[in-house]
Amino acid sequence: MSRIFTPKSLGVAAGLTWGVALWVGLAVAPTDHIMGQVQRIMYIHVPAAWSGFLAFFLVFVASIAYLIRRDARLDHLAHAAAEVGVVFMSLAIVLGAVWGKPTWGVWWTWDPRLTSAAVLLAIYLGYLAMRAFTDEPERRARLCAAVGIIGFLDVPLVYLSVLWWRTLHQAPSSPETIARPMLMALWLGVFAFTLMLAFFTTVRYQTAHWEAELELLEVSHV
Amino acid sequence: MSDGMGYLIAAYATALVTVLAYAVAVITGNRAAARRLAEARARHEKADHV
Repeated sequence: MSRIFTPKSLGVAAGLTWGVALWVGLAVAPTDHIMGQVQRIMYIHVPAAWSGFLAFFLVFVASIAYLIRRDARLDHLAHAAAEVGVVFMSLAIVLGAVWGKPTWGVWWTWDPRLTSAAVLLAIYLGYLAMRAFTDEPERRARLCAAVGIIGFLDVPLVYLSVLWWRTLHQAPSSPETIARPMLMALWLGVFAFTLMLAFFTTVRYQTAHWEAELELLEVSHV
Repeated sequence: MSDGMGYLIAAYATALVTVLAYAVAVITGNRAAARRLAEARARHEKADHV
């Protein structure tokens, strides 16, 4: 079973699924009669944001588990997920800006959803900076676990911001109000991005694990 | 381009380039880490023998 779920097979599955999702989103799903072609950005913007949230949830869980068990592997998992989360959340924000310009007339506005998402990105950029600037591995893991746990509190705020403060960004769409092919494109995109998250996190985890082993070898060699 | 087609192309191109570039960086970094670790282990074993 574990031989089937290798990083390579995950990568291939993620690539193929995203290929199908792109085809469905660009060629099968109908054109939105109000927004036109630009609405198709939803099929990549929403999955990118979803996978960013999921990555930060992984950081949150791994950080709690690290503080309880003090297992360095959990710190490596949190590190890997934080990096992948930053990539996907940055992508979601950029795609949102590209969608915002033709829809709202501006690339960026200090709307509660956009602002809380930008704060979320800043928190995890800070998390990665803290990792880079703290030398002692155990202290680094402890500090980053604290930031990983506290930082996650912003994720529900980002999600609920459109419900609490109705401003420019739309509230989540209900599956009942979306045409079936559109919903299929969206779900395929979410599935593809989740697979990509699994692939990137697995490979980054392996890399972080090896780098930690290398750090130990170099210390013991000196 | 009408109907927001230019924005659509820009968005999909951004997503593709970002994901592909990150995939290349992640895989390259993984291979480099594996190589560095193998070299360090070899050096370590050699030092132990001496």
